[in-house]
Amino acid sequence: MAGDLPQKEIQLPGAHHGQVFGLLEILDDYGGKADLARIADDVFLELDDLLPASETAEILGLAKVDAGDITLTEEGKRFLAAGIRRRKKIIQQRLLELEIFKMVLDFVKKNDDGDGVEKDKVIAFLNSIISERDPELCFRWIVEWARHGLLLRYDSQGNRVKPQR
Amino acid sequence: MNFTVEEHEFVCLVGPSGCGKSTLLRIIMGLIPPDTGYVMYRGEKVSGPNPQMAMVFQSFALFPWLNVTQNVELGLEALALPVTQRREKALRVIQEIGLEGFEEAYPRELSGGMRQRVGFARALALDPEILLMDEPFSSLDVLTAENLREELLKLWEDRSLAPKLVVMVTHNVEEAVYMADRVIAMTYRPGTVAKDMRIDLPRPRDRRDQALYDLVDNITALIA
Repeated sequence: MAGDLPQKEIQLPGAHHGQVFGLLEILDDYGGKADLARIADDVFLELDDLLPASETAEILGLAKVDAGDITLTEEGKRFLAAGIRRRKKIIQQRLLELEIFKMVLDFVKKNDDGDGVEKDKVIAFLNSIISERDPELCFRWIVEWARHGLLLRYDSQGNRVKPQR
Repeated sequence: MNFTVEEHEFVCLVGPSGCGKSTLLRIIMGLIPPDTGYVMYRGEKVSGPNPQMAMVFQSFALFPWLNVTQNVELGLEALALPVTQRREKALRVIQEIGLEGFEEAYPRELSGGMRQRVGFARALALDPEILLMDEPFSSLDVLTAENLREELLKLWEDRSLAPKLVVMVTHNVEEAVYMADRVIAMTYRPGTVAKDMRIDLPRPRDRRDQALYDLVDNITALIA
């Protein structure tokens, strides 16, 4: 039975990929570095509205946030210069470095009965490793990003998570 | 109102709400007839829906009971293509538009940005000569809209998936100047063309370029 992941290791995207990539595009317009609060002002958002996207960009190694400033990393610059398919590959590689994705992928692979794993089992697994967070919400973010990174498939009609073909 | 649009142009129609931009788009596509006047396409009057044109809507217009692949394939059914060819075409466009991985997803599982990508994919799968877009980014949050705009511009500049001509309606003048080769500014009551101007800024465009700001101010003053 898996124990709880230490909080500092729970690096989980918490924004839609369109929002994260849009923030990076906007940051690029500023020359790759800007005060987050200034970006928020310029696009008529509250700073809090930008935080999920900026935190996710940092988790994925595409940007760095320090003392209120957000800066594109070299990987972030490579990402922006890449086409759509190459961008997916970059995201796939970044997700595979995150402990929670590695654990979920491993769980699905080991428990695949030929037709994937029931959603409830994956959620129960998540609950066993990150009991401080809402496992359903975590499941939704993991599925969205794992689908985007071509790491998992999800059959929402049958409620089954499947390894990528 | 008289204007001509040419191949390889990205044209934006801007104007105040109610000036007839969206109506004009539907007239161009042949969905509704004009009260007076006509639309010519390659020398022929448009008298009904034109299969060489496809539209992307502000509200995505997806069928919630169909998954991404099925929504994209829907328009292809009207072309009487064999099932395998429809599926291949749909999957190719899904990949090109960045939706690979979501082929089995239903609209309820998708963010607004992804739903609009499905809208784009469905239109582009038809290989239209002309892509018409009615405020395609206005239902999206500002970050997602930015992402989708940039990706669409990349596809347009790449020419691999792009149609020959894009006509986009928007109330966002900055968006129009940023994206278009040409901006047609319309006024209200009656809806007329106030100005038809080329945007000669080099691509990729810099939003902080003073020349871009000047054009935005210029056009905004015309339609105010």
